[in-house]
Amino acid sequence: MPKTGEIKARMNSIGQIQKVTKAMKVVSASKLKRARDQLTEVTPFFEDIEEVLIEILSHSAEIVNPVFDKRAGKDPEERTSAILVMTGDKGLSGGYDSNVCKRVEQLIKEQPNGNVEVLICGRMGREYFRKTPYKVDEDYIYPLREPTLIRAREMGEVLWDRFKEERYDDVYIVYTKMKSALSLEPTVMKLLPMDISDFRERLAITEMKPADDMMKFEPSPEAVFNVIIKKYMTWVTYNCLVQAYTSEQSARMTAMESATDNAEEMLEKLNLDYNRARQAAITQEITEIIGGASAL
Amino acid sequence: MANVEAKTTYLVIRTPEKSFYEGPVEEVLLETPEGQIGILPGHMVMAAAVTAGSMSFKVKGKWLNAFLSEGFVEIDQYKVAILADTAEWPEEIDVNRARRAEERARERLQGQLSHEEYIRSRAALQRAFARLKVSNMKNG
Repeated sequence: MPKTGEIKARMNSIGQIQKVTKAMKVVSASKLKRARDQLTEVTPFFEDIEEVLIEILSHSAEIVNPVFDKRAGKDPEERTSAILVMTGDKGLSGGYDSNVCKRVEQLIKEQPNGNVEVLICGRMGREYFRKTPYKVDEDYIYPLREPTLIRAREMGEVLWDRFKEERYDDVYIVYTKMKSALSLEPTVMKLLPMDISDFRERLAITEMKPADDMMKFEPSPEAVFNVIIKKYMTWVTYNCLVQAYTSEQSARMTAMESATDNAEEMLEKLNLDYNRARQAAITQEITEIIGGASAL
Repeated sequence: MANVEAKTTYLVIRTPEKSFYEGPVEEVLLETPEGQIGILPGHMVMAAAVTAGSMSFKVKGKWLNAFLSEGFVEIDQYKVAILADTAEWPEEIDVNRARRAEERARERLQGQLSHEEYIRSRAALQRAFARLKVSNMKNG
């Protein structure tokens, strides 16, 4: 039977931890609220762009643009893929970071050859991939917290430039999508080369628009499309950043909530133990006294 | 009501950070790489690039001004949809920040730049100019 003092000390330390987890839960709840506001703005916007993009694509004849360049002629052995991973900057968010990283490792294994370069956003991912043999771009350092459009533009431009230089042949983004408050899903998104049929699938568009209501492009389809593509890179990256950031906060909140609940449960159990131990000690003392008294 | 000419078109201005404006308007003026264009209700189906600059639109006879950064516009008979990086009302513009951005862009343009860098710096300068211009326009 443990001593009452020992139990008391444990209860104290659990109480302290519970205070911390409770505070963290409150902090991430308020961050989550802000992130969610950002998310509710970006989601309809993102759907809009894809819709416009599809409309433009279906209204115009073949558009030749480097974004569609599948590099079909290239030797499969020489292809290089790039994976942009979005992880959190801090830990204590349950399985959030490791789920994303595991999804990345799975994706790497799916690549036909081992030529993969990993680009990381967020400190936790950097720490995870430091221990793996994969090639990581050490100069590509971006935080996840409080996503801004400017950062998204920089991040996207790097990928786009390297794709154009043919340093990368396929570019993916792996991030955590917030399907609902309770369901966070590590998601792989193919960024480059772009595939029109992917859009159609995602937007569930099956039939083509009739060709007679052709759209006019100012100044030319190519010029408009070039602008859109550049914007699209930025906006996709931004969308993923916001999704990942919101998911991180949500994951942390859930993790901290269950940690607080667990601490509560443990405290209750320990409290019972404590009372029992105290009672046992008293009973024992009384027994000793009675035993001593009767011996006299 | 098919024979009645529509007097308004529906304007939607969206940025990733917020839905900037949504509502019926009588006329829209926009900056494109080819120069300013005016859009009236019943415009033909069109898509165009939008350059950073001022834009204005007429709501119930009153003109409203705003700053728009690069983006694109999709027009059909019923609506004008503008998607851009940022959109700001004149009073929202941070004048000091725009001035600093202008200086930075000028400095960069003095140095040796690659083609891409040149384009980026030029665009930054253009944005800063447009912001400063729009910040002087009062709405209402």
